[in-house]
Amino acid sequence: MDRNRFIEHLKNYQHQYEFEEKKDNGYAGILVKNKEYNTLTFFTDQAIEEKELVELLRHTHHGKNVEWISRVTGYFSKINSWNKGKKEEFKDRYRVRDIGIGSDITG
Amino acid sequence: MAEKINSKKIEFIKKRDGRIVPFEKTKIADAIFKAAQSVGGQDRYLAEDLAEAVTVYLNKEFLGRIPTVEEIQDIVEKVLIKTGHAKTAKAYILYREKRARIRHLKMGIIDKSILEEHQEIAKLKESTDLSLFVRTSAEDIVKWDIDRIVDSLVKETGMEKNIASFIATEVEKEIVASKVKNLTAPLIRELVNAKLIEYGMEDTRRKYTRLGLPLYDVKNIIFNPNKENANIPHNPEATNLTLAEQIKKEFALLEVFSPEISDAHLRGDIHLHDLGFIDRPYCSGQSLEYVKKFGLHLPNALSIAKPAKHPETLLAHMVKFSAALQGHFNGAIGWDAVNIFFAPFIEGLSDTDMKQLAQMLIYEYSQQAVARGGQAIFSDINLYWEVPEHFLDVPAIGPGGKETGKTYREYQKTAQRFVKALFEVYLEGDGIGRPFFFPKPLLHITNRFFETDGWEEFLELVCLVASEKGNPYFVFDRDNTARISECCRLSFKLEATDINDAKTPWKMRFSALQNITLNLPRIAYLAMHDDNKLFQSLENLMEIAIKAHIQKRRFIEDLLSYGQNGPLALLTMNLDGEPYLRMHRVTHLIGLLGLNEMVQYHTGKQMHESEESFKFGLKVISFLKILCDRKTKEKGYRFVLEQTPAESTAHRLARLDYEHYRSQSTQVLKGTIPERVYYTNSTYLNISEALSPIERVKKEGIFHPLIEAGALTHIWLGESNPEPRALANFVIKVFKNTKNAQIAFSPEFTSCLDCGRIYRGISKNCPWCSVSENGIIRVHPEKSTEQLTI
Repeated sequence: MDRNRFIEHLKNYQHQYEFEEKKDNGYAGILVKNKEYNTLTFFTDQAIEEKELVELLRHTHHGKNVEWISRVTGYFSKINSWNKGKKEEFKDRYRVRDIGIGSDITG
Repeated sequence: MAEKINSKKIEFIKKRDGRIVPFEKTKIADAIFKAAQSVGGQDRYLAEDLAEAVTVYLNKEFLGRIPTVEEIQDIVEKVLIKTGHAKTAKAYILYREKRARIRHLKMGIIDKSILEEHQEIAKLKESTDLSLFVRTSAEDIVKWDIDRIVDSLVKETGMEKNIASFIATEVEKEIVASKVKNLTAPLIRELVNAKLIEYGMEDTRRKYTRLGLPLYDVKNIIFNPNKENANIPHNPEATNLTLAEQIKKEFALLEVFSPEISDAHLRGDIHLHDLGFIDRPYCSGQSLEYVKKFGLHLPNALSIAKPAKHPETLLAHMVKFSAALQGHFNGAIGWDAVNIFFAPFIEGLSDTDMKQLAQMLIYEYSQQAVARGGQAIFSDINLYWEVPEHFLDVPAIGPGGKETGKTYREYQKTAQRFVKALFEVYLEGDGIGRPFFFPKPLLHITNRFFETDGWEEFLELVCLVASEKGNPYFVFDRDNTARISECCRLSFKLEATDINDAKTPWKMRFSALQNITLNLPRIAYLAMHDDNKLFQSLENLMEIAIKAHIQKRRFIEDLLSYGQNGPLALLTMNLDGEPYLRMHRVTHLIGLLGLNEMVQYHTGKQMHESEESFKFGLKVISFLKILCDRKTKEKGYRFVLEQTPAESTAHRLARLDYEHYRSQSTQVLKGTIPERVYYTNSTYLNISEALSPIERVKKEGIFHPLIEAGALTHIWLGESNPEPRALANFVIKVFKNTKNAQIAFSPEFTSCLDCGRIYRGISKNCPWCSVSENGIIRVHPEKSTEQLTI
């Protein structure tokens, strides 16, 4: 893609990316910090030129673009779509390690 | 003191209509303050001092004679001028004049001053060559026409025409003076509303309200995902739903519910669920027998299908009917005894074909993101290993909607093969091994379960699914308490008449009309540790909830009354002698939230911390159950308790209580103050407490018989994979030794969007493809894959 348009995109999403135009190992390019995933990715100018935006940005995930799945209240869903209260509840949940059949349930 | 001797306290005033009413000094202070505010004043105390001065003056002047409103207003003017508040006096006089104009207009008199002013406007319009254009809501740009305002005021608010045209002219005056060139219809409406407020016509303004959203909000909705409901995806269809919901929510609070109820919701005393779906009932449970018997014969449909002859067609009918129903309810679409009712269509099917059909059923439900904001159909399938008592001798319906001549007792083996196939599909998960989100399988266990051959092996299969994927819900129908379940945990306990309905199973369709949740912790804050106060407030709050239920019911009845030409035509469809939605059988849910925090505040201990506190919680729920039963008798509508799913409510009410009852709520709120707070759901024990699963199931289960509309205990598995046999043992013991109505085991998963693999447990990084924290990835064109250096 066009280098200037790439920079423009990074500027538009300042809350997610920081970047610096620099040289790395003799290559001119852009170092991008993805604030959401806390990753650094160096793109050579030539790489930017040859790749599409979506592919470039994918490199900033580094396998951190994951979805968590669990039961929200009565159904399974993706945790990133839960509201703040439910996310907090998720953290607090006591997870059973032992189903505890040995304990007395007849009483 | 000398003055006091010569005056007599004023006690009454004479209103314009001749009524004598008590004199209230605060009303004078209000009027003065209002006038002062309109010119920038902010001193309420000063207004009160001035009102006192007016009172003294009145006492002196009237010596016990009753003054008229006009006389009092004259004195207010005088006092304001004499005390040097000229600006306020002017505003006050202006306001008086405006009110007088409206009064005169109502009597059919047009004041000379108005005529003069309006002539001036006419002149101004001519001289400025008024060429105003309005962008209307009908995608049109039209020339300014004052009659449009007049007509809409008359039509929408019932205002008299001469008053409407007065208001419209006043608005026109301002528009002309502002020299604005391009107007929009919403802007004009707001200008009219401002004018209505200026003239004290608050009620008319309410009727003239425009519902909608600020530009900023719409942009936000289009660009950002909806976080209220985790089941709604983010796409244009979902955005449509969110936008529509916003408007319908406002409509509900303005139009459907009385101000008393709307305020109770806005304050957070109660939560009216799904206000954005105000024109639909809450959720519904259906019988496949209806589709088998009548085919797909929906009102206003483009084509009509006769009863299915093949299993695949029956499945297609079921799914399509679910999608149609989802557009008419705001919650889940449940189906009763699916494997049993499918059985007459699949006798003798090979194992491969059986599995194929099971796969089709699950994939059809889990992948169709069609209805209601692009959601997958929120669906539940109720399943049985044994044919339950109430269906044993019911004549089976087969292909073509004809009776097969056999009863369901005789289809047990086939039904068992199908239910096994379904759980095998659940065990595999989707294409990359993730659990299916929908349809939720609810396995009912009745006493007959344990008398039916092969139950051990089957239970172990279901428990393997529970351990691996988490899907199954175990519903315990002990001693013939038959129920049909759906939604998050909602169930309909079948009563004697329903068991009778079982003989004609297509009649077995149920619905809950609305869910209204009580904010229990707030009651405790208000009761200040006083038992009597607490129970009294509970009773009062229940009154409010019942009122709210009846208001929604009236609204739905109203919509239904339009029958086949109305918005709920589908629910009035009448193929078996009664409408599809059987209003005589609907339930009205009273939801519960934060019992644990209520008890904690009131008694000082959480329910798991002391036997006494637990008993107090039980007392509260028993009390509410009795109230429900009493109200059911009194009103003739079914009111039942429910464990509210409270996906957004647990957070919303916690936040409101943090805002309004901070010192009390901070003692019991769960989560992290201030933003990430929540209340414990319904009657649950503290979710973070390390109770043994058995203890939790047993203790929480003590509440379940009181909560007729469904209760559930969660067991969070996290990353652990218990042995299926251990889970099976657990399930058996829960059935035999507790009163718990339903349990579910919930594992957790991490799914990587970069490499598409799935991992058990929660991890920030994909264990398969992520790189270390400090790594830099260099993207070079000549090396097609990224290169990693530290």
